[in-house]
Amino acid sequence: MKIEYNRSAEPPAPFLDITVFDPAHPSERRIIPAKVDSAADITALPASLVQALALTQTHWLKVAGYDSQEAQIAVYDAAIEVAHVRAHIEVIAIPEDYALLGRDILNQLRLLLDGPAHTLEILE
Amino acid sequence: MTRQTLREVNAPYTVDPDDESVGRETIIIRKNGEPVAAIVPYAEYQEWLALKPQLASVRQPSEPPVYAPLPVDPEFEKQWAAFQRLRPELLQNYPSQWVAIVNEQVGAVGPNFDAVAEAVYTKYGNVPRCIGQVREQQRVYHFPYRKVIRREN
Repeated sequence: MKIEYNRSAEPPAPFLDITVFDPAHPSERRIIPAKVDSAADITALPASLVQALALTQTHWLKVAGYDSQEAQIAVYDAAIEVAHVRAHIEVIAIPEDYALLGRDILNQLRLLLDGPAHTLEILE
Repeated sequence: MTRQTLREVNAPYTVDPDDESVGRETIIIRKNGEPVAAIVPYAEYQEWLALKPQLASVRQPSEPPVYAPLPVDPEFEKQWAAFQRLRPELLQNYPSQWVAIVNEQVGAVGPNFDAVAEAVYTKYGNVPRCIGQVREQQRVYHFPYRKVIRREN
C-alpha cells in the first residue's frame, strides 16, 4: 500500500497512522499521525496524548538533541500498533500534535521511501 | 466613498453629524494626501468589533504551545530512587539486563523493556514501577529534535 507524503510539511515528509494505547487499558485507543524519523533512537508521542491516556512513567532518560545538549526527560510505558507490528515500548513526550516514529519501531518495518514520487510504501 | 482632507490644526477635528455621508458611507480622512483615519457607519464599526478577536488570532503567527513538564507520580519517584540506590547490586547481579523495580525491590528481570514490562503486568498489575537497563553508565538517547519536555528542576 502506498501512502502519500504529508505535503503540509516542508519539504513533504513521510507519515504513517499509528494506534497508541496504554497497555494497562488496551480498549482506549487513539490513532494519530506519526512522522517517520530514522534519526531518532526512541519514539515520541504528543504530550497531550501522554496526558490523555495517562501513560505511566517508568524511567528518566538522558536525551541528546541536535545540538548534543543533554536533557533528562520522562519516559513512559506505551503500546503502539503500526501496520503488522505491535510493540510494547518506552516513549518520550514532545510538544507536537503528531508522533515521531523512531528506530525502535522503524527497525521492525520494511519501508520503501520514494522521495521523487512523495510516497511511502509498507512492504510486507 | 468620501474623501476629507485633514487640516493641520491643533484643535480636535470634528465631523459634522448632519453631513449626509456620515453614517452612510466610509469617509477616508487624509493628511498631506496620505490616509490617516476612516469614519465608517456605526453598524460596520459594531461588526468590526465583533470580528476583532478573530482577526487578531489570524494576524498573530501561531505560537508553538508551551507545555509544562508533565506531573511526576511520587510513587514512581520512590521506585526510581530505589533503582539508583540498588544500582551497585544490580550491576553485580544483572549487568546489561533490564530490571523493574516494584515496591522498591527488584520485581522482574529480562532481556528487554517489553519482556520486563509484561512480567510486571502479569505479576503485579498496573503498579508504579521503574524499568531500566542496568548499565555502568546511563545510556544517552539521540533524538535530533529541537523540542523535548525536560525534567522540571
